[in-house]
Amino acid sequence: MISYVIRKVLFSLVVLVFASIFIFGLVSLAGDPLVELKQNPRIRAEDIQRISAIYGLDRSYPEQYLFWIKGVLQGDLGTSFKQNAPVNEIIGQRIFPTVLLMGTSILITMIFAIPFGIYSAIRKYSWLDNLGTFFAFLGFSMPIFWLALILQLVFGVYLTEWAGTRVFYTSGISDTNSGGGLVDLIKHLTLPALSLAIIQSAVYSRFQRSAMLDVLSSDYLRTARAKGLSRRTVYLKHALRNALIPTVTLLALYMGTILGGAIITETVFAWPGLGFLFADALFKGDFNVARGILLLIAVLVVFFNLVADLVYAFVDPRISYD
Amino acid sequence: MLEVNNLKTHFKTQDGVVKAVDGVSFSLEPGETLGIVGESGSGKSVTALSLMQLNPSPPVSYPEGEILFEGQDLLKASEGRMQKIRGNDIAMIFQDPMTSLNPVFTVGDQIMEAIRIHQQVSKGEAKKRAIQVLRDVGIANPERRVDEYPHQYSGGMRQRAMIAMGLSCNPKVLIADEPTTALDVTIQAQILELMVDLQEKYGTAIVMITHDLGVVAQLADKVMVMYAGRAVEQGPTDDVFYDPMMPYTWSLLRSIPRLDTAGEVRLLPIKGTPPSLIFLPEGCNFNPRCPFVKDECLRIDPALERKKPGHSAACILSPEELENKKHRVDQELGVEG
Repeated sequence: MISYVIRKVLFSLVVLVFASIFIFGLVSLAGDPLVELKQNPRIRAEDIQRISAIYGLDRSYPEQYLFWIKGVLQGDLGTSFKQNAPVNEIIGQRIFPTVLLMGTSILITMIFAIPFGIYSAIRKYSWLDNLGTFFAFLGFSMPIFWLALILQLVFGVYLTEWAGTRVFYTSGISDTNSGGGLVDLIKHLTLPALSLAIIQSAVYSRFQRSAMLDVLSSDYLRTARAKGLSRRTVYLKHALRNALIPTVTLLALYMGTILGGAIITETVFAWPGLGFLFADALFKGDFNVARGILLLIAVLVVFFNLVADLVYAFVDPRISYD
Repeated sequence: MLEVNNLKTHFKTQDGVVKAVDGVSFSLEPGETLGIVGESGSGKSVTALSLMQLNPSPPVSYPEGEILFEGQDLLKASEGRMQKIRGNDIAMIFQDPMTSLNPVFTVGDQIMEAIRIHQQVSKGEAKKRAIQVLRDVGIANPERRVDEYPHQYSGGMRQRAMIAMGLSCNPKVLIADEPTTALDVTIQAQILELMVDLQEKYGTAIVMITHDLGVVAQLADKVMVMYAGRAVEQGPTDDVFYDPMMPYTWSLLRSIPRLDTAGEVRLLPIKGTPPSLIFLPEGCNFNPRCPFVKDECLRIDPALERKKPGHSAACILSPEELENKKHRVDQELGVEG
């Protein structure tokens, strides 16, 4: 087990080295971060030269990479080109909102989609299962930005008009007038979290349904019934334990990408998370910020891959890494 | 103790009603072994699952018949009552030990669960008993093995564990649905021997479902041959095997090699395949495949009738006619040299 983890960690480090090269290279190719300055006739060429030198942009790409990665290895993601602040600080401020949003949406998804998927499998082709199938395919086929806009329109605009007061906010994380607080946070969080949860629920409920269906046809459930167990115990103990294995694995794998934030949803709701920051940084040519976020995602994905492997061994006794 | 009268188990499907079991009767006394023999799809397993009331419902229905267990009709018993009977009074072991144990619980947990549903005992006591039954079924080192998962057991050991689970509450009836089919031959013999030993020790009655005539010959006191959902021959094992009264039974016996007649009697495969249970042939169900078919067989659907004391068969041929025909076939292609 320990040797497995060590091997896996070493392999992960190799993956991360390649990931850092790709991240650096691809972001560098996205354009010239000083293009705005260069197009401005009022800025002199020597000033541009000077700024290039400050950020190391006058050097070759390999040199720039080594300079960047040296900082990264020391825990310094560099300086923002646009905000004149350390990237660490800029990203740091965005982690909590992203974790809050993604955590909430995943929690809603799990609470709703897993029991529903299990119910759908047990009562296959019942009207509720068919309804679930209908909404799942609706969820699959809806682009999230469209769903987000509809939720904004219905719960942000119409509901506010109808109630005469603002129930849910459609942008930001807090309202300066209301003075913050938990209620204010929930009013801001609900719509973006719901958008994500609806789309994720479509995926997870289908996934859980098929995992449960696989298990329901197993011989060992018949054995359990033959012992004298009630249908309920057979489903909730013998079937569920097996049907959750793939879901737990999927969730652990998904966790890494989740924490990178939801670019579209955060942008539509102006949610101050990593996804919104990433889109913003990329459009504005704030390359060190974009690289920092991508690298963070890479590290998290690799880390949660490892976690998924270990969790898998924990939930499924047939897997062992000796 | 167990008496099944005219049991009918039907399944509603899109193509029509499948009469998987269509009027089967038998009885079982304590300590007795009944062998149910037949090809795949003859209704053996459905009969067994009917006894347990474990056929998938909705499609299943029981339009007629009764299953009397100690005087109580299980077809009319509530689900709650059945849960008390299953595992405790009537236990069942299944064909494929590789898939019949839950992979995520230890073998011990699964046996203890069976004990603790039916008996008010502490976890520690249940574990002691689980270890004891594992020892009874010949698992070496049961104290350690009890905490292992099914994937750490071999196929033969898993079937032993299944038997241990089945016997853990000391049931009156043990239904074994092809318990040795998935095992290799040496393990098969061990498992069968084990079942005989345990039957002597616990006095359990066994319903042995199999398509292996050798198993029945070895274990069963009496035998029921099933074809297309019906019992076509029933009687004491020796009678049925030495003097089969139904051409199907005779064909089955002639289709397997025997050591004592090797080289003398040619194997005679049964032609064709079992009929669809939705569209049964007119007359006798076996007539398309019967080597002794007569014109009447296409019209008359024979009922099970007594041919000798305790031995009944569903065939319009008289014992004498049948004897002649068997003899003729033997002369035509059987005896060599």
